[in-house]
Amino acid sequence: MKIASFSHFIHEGFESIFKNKSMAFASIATTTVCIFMLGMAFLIMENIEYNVRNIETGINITAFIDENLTEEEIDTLKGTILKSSQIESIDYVSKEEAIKRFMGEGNLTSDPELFNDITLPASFEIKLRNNKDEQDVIGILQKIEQIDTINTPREAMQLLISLKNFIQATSAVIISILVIIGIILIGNTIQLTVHIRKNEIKIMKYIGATDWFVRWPFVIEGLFIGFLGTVIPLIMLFFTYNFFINIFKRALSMDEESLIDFIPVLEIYQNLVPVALILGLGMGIVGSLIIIRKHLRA
Amino acid sequence: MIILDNVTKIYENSAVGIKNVNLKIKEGEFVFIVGNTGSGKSTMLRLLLKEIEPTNGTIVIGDKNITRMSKEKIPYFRRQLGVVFQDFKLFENKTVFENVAFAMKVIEEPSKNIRRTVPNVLSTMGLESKARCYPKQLSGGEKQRTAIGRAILNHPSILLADEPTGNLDPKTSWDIMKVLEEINSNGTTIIVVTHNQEIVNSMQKRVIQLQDGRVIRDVVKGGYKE
Repeated sequence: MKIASFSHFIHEGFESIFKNKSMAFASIATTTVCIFMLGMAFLIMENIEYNVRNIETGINITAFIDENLTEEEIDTLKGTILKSSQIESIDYVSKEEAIKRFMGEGNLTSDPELFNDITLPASFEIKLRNNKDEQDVIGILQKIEQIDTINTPREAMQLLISLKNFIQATSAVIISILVIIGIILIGNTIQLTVHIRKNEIKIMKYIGATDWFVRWPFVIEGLFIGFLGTVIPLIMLFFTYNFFINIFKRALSMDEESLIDFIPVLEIYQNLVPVALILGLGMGIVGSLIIIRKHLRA
Repeated sequence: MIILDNVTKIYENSAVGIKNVNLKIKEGEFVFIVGNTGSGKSTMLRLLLKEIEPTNGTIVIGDKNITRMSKEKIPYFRRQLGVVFQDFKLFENKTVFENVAFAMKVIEEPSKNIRRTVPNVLSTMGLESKARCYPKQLSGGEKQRTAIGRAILNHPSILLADEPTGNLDPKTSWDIMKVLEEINSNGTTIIVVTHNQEIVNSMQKRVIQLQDGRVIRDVVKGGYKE
């Protein structure tokens, strides 16, 4: 394609959009909704995955121990557990430390009366060399009398993974439907332009225009609709995401040591922007190509 | 040279467009194709433009057998033809200059060449003063001269004109025919489909008469009717 032709295609493409403002607006709005939904699903899924990874690489097993053990007994027990080659490290968390952590998470006020009523068991936080060994280590710990209860983050992880799968499946269905609606609407906008310019296309063909010469202005029109329909929701999501993670962080009194965290918006956008652009521009191109192909065949 | 060798076109609804037509048109000829409505004139023009395919027979234009031409090559083939219609087929949203220039845009000529060539053609057509006008600001004759300007811009070897005077008054019709004759004098083959008896009778050019899809008369110099 030569530069002179390129400027002609751009001019023709933009002219069509301004001539059919209402249809173009409808197409941009549908693409916006579609990309907004995709973006939301993407942000939620990425954050869930991020937290699942964090949990997986964090504490693996918490073993609550008999509260009557002396310090010597605790040290002996720690040494016994550490003999297992599957364990990377083990940390002792005293009752006082457990209460301190609990308060630090904002679950308590500093009301001394309430503080007196709370008792939390001491525990070992055990980190595994390999997550696959979790069941083996749990088996070993269960045989130790001084250990009362064993907790793993598996349940929390399972919950997160189920939530992620649910969001993934639901959003896949919704986004697929919206993509189809978007393509149809963009196609309709292009079809309107094609209809208005039917005679022009005929003249172009008579004087030797190639199919691509006819096609390009419509592709550019579709691309522009797709582009605007992607950029608008990306800007909206940028601010919405920042707004909501701040609210969540405040509501949950989250700090750097919290188990749950959110991916910073600029980091997550490095992945979201290309995905959204491919989908949005793709919808524009597919919508316009389908319609113009039908017309050129006829 | 244009050769139609035993060409038949039967449409999907079984209507006969043309039947067993054999023709040879030499380079530089001026030919009128005449006949009543439904005689096959338009079918012949559409076949020459490769807008439709013949059911049988072969069409050769220049050194190309266009019946065997692939779809991709059609635009390049059409660039060797100029075409003019009764309803002018101008772009209403483009000026006279832009309408004429479009023929060069389509073949992706650089803007510099377009700016250099179009004024010459407008001058030949007597349209210099109308360059910035839109079609709705032009008379019928000016519209047709714009269409002819666009058709000859890329120096086609053949110019096809479908009822070029159909929407024009007698005086303007004569002006247009003079323009076509001048183009012909430069070596371009001109094929004019027309109902205009006065023009055909006066110009005394080759006349091919069609009836029910068949050639019933082909004279080197003649009038509308025998």
